[in-house]
Amino acid sequence: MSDLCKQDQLESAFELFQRAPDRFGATSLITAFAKQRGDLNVSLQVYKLLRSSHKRPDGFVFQALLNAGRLCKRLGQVVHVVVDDIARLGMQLDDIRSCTVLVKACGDARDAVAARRVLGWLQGDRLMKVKVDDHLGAVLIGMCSKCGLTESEGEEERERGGVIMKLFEELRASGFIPGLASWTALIGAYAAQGSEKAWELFDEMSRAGLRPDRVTFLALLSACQGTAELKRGEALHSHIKQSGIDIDDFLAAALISMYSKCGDINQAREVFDAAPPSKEGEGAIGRWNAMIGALVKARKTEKALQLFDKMVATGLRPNDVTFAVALPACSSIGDLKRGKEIHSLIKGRGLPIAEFLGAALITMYGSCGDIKEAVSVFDEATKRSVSIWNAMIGVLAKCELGKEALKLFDKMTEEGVQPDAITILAALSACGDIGDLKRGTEIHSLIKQRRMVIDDFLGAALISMYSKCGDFRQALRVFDAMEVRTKGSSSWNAVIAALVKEGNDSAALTAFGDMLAARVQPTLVTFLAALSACKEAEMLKKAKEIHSLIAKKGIPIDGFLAAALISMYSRCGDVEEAKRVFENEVRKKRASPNVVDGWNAIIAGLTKQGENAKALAIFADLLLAKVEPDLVTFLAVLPACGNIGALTEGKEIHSLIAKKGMPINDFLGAALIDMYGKTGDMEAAKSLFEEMRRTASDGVSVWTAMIGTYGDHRRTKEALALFEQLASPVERAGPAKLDGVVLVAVLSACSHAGLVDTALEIVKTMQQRYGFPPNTTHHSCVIDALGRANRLEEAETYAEANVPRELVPWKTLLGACRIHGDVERAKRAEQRARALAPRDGATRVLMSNIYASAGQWENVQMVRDQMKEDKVKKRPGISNIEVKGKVHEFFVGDTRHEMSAAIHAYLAELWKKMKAAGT
Amino acid sequence: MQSTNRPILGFNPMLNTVMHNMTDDEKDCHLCYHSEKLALAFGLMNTPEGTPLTICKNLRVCPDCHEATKFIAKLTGRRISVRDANSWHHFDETGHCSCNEYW
Repeated sequence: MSDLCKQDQLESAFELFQRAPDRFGATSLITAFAKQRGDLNVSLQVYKLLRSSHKRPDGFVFQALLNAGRLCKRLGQVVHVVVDDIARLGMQLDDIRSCTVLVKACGDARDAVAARRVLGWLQGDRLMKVKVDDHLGAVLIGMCSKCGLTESEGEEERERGGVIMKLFEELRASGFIPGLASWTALIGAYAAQGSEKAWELFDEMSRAGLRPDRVTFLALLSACQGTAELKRGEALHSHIKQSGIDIDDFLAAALISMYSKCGDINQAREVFDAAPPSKEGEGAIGRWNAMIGALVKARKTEKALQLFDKMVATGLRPNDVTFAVALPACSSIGDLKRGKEIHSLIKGRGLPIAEFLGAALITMYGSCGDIKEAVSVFDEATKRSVSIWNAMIGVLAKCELGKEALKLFDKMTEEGVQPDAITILAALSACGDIGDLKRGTEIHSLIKQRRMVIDDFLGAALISMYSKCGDFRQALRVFDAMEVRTKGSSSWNAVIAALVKEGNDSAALTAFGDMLAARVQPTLVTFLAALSACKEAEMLKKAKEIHSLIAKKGIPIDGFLAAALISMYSRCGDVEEAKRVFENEVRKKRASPNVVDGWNAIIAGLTKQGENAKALAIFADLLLAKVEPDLVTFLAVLPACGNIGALTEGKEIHSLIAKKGMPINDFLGAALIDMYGKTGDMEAAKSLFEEMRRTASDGVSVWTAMIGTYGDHRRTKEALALFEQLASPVERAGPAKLDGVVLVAVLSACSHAGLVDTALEIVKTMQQRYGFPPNTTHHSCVIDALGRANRLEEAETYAEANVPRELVPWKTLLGACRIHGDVERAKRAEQRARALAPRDGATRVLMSNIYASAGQWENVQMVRDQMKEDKVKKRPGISNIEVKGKVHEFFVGDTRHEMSAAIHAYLAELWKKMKAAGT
Repeated sequence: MQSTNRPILGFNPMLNTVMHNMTDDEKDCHLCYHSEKLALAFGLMNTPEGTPLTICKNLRVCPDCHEATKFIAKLTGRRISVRDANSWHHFDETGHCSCNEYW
């Protein structure tokens, strides 16, 4: 029969075997069919025939079967059959060869159940009988490691190093003397887990007088991950050199990855360059792959892609790993062209688009903004593994296509693919983005159902999902339910951000304190969230603490963080500190990343504090410093122009925007129209508005700005006509949709024009007509309108009925009382306003003016004294006038201007003339 | 503010809007210093006759300055626009303000 096999007459041999099955024939046939025909099914049939003929298979039959399985890439199936039959027949493993083959097969098949059974058979004196040699020892350890049999049940076992260490001890107790192979396997097993134990074992092995070989080094190199382990990695490298081991491509690749993971890209490059010129072969490709990957990891994307090109030019054929490493390089810089080139190379090689390669392609197209192509790769993928689904769902979620991401998530489950932790994270982020609380809650239940461990990341994802969907109570509940030791910086950051979003700033700051107390390292995100919680002068002390903690932690202050600090100090009213941060961290660091954000923050902060001229000066400095202004810069600087009537500068900024070719979006258009309106250039405002309508780029902000401008200029008819157009159901070309803010502009226009009843009518019907309930600002407009029209009684009743606990309406009423000299009502309004904001200077000044108008000087003095006592500051009046393109600023009683004396003389003269004419 | 009976041809400082308790002479002098008047005087001095002026103020214009501006616009024959924290006041050459005394 073995002759027939040799002559490739397998069918005849099979016929012969069917007539009289025997072990020897089975062994030959099983091997022959697998080797010569690649047909495992016949091999299995042969085995079945043997079993049904009541002949016990022996070690040789099993070995043949296992080898056949390995050849036909169906090892898992065969391992299952063999292990089952050994158990069923009660066979004993005592011949070392079959033992080795079986153990190796279990390991390679990653079959943990089989592995545990085999380990069970090899206990105690059985080990003695088998006489385990170094090779089998290594294979046994390797099996445990590959099958993940590292977790140990008992605490005691864990302390001793788990299942593997236990096995190793047992082997030694049975007289086994571990050689290099076993030691290396043992070290490799612990290195793969990133365990310190690997290094202890390495020392022990050296003490036993064994010299490590390249496999030992490969294992140890893989254990060096993270900058803290660079020293160890370097020591290994010199150890390798001393040992005289030739640094081949595999070792070079391992060294490159080690240096890359330890953050030393230069040494990685040295290793790469020191290797001999590459010849075609898996090893050489692996070395190149490692170097390209290292460059990508070090964010030297251009260099990575250059090396990729060089690799192709050298004549080396990139493999699937090369592509999977090069594609993220394209993703990180959004280089669609290069990405497409690599895609066509992959197509040219005829590589199947599956698994990680497919995922890398999808992610590349997604990151480069070509969703269509990402979807088509997904559709073409030959086999959709979890990683491919994850890539596609992740791309959709990142591109704010939350609905589509969730649809795909459903489809994935329908097709029977189990979502893993990464899928769940992407799906939760999608729910948060589209505010779909229902779906988010469903996914949360799925997590509970599947008993997934809620770790730091998953916890953070759940918290932000609930927070984004507005369910803050549930967000906090998730956080509270997490185990204390799983709460890392991600979940703390998420909960602090949720509290800030809820508007519960003091709770957010308390949580920040708790996080520090729990000794969880705050990250940049933590600091940004904590800074954004500091909103009022009362929080200045806390804010300063956070600032000094940032300095203490040595967190580099880039433009973004500087911007957060500057905005925080401006909000808390400490403009001087904001300026200091700007000078030290922004102006001096022209090259720091996101530096423009710092400039934007100081311009916006100064404008908000009324230091408009200073804001404009800093904008001029920004242009001089050749910092590229962005959209936010313009949105920050234009209001400063408007506030002080700097029309010339405003126009210059407008032409700068045009020169840069920056598209004028809804917000920028609104800011420009507002600037023109506030500087008095109605024509420019109108023509920009018309232009934006013509090009259909008019969003609701642009309409609001134009209506507001008409209203401020008391061109009420035009304001209302525009509003009519916006509110009419006739199709317009532009995208503008009515919102609550535009109604404020309309109401304010009504108020200026004395159209009290129109204003009342709008507020009464806005919910029903436009679908927005009136808010405090809308109500304040009505009170303002009633007040100006001297319908003070109604105004007071209205405030009491609709917005009794809001500051602005009472201040508005107070202003109206001043116009009409109603001292008694003013007193009541002031009391209400003061109860709500004791430190508001404007309220006090208004009241003092009302007393003055009524000639009640004792009361004026009383208010002034109280203000001093309460340290409430009065905002000084500032007037600006633009003459010959330059804005001049004047304070009350100002004598600082260079022409001050002349101005005062001129006024005195004018005064005389006026008096003469008046009397 | 309601329409005043005072003729816009002449001007009488509205002394009661000044918050300090002092003599009428002192009040007159103090009124000179309101920031919008300083800005306005500067503008009148530094621009050719007939040039319209625009002034921007961060707070609300006080009634006295409003009266004074009306008068100055008429006296100098200039169009003067004042924007305060609330809205615009456009004064024409006749001393009429676009707010129609409706504040």
